[in-house]
Amino acid sequence: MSAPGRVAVVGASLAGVRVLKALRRKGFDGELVLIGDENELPYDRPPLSKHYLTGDDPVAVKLLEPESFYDDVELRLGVSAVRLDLADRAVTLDDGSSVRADHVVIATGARARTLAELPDGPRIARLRTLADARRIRAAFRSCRRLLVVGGGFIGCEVAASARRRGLEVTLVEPLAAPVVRGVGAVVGGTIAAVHRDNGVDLRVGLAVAGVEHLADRLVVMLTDGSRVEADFAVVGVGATPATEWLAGSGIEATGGVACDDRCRVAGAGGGVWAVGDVAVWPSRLSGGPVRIEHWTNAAEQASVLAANLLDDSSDMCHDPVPYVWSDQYEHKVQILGSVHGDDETTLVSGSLDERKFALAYSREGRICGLVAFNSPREVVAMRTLIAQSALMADVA
Amino acid sequence: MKVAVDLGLCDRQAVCIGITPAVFDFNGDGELTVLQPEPPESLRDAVEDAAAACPMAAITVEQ
Repeated sequence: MSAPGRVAVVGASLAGVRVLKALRRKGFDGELVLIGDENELPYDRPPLSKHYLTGDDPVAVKLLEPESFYDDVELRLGVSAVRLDLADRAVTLDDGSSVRADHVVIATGARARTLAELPDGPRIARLRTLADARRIRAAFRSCRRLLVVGGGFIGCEVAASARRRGLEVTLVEPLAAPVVRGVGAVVGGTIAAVHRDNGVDLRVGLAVAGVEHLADRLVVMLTDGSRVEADFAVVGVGATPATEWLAGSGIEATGGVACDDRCRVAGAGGGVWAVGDVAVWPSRLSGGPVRIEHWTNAAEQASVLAANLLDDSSDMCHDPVPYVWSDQYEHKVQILGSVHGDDETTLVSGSLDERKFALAYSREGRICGLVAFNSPREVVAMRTLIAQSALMADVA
Repeated sequence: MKVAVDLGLCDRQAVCIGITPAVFDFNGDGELTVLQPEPPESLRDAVEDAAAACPMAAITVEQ
């Protein structure tokens, strides 16, 4: 085992914190530096669109680790990395200081995209950070009418949470149904029906054309000429990898940071690693390079990274069966494998009408994923088959 | 090594069962159950991986 000495992790969310934890767990006793641009102890993001918005006061922030976890970590919070110098593995921070290390871990994650037609403002928010969630939580308590733009999983969860708090909700989605790009028309249709049943005014096939900021509300124009009045709007239109700070470093970071299946960044000369939402790596299971913004991917990849950082001869590779979940109202949606909206789908158990079912996704006759709607047992049953890319003929 | 699941936190996501089916499963009521509360040392990595991958942080592993 090599002696890495000093490890600097840039990005203080799940991926970065789990790298520290795995290094310690595997016996690393060198120096650890954790750099994060939010002025918060690292916290768990999934509750921000769910319990954090719906829970009564006082609502707790779910920290990733207790404060004491960082006793032996040099914690640099509230500062952003602005530059990486590969030659001496030095990270320049926006307070003018710089951190040198034997290993640099790129874990800067992703940022919520903006919408040009509905830019950030006093009554408009995106949801990525705890600060964003605080604003939205406060708006839920002072507003009556909420507009959600974007029917992806974040937008759907915010809409569901707002209904739970009794707000009037309009959800605008440019495609024919929510989540349809990611998981297709069958699940999209079910999610659309769930939101309508819960009183959401779902407006599909429409986008935002413009906005008027009045003193006490927003008036948002949609592409069909209709207008939606709202006290507050949340924009949920996806995320982009946070790589601006790598410009000029020599690392190619368009669409994410390319690394191998051991998390080593290509062309960085060694000692530079990538993990989590920012990382792009070659997936055997998906048949090409992928970037995955899932909680479990970050957790699992961090463990692989730590094993490889500590041991050059480690044979640990990252190629998990991707997994992500969503909670909306009383429904749990679990997505296993690599699923696209245009895959073939086959109902393998349950009933769409009862909103309890499992839908297998396949390409060229082989299973590539599963959506389990209120059916957690099916996730267990299908994982091995998905990992093996089993023939659909053998699945259903 | 002792393994426990906090059922108050468990969200039945089944990630642990997928990673370490020798130790975790659903029981007949669909509740998570620990099949081996004191698994052999040979399963330590697998159990710790399952604990680390639990989105609810519901699994504890003691020495």
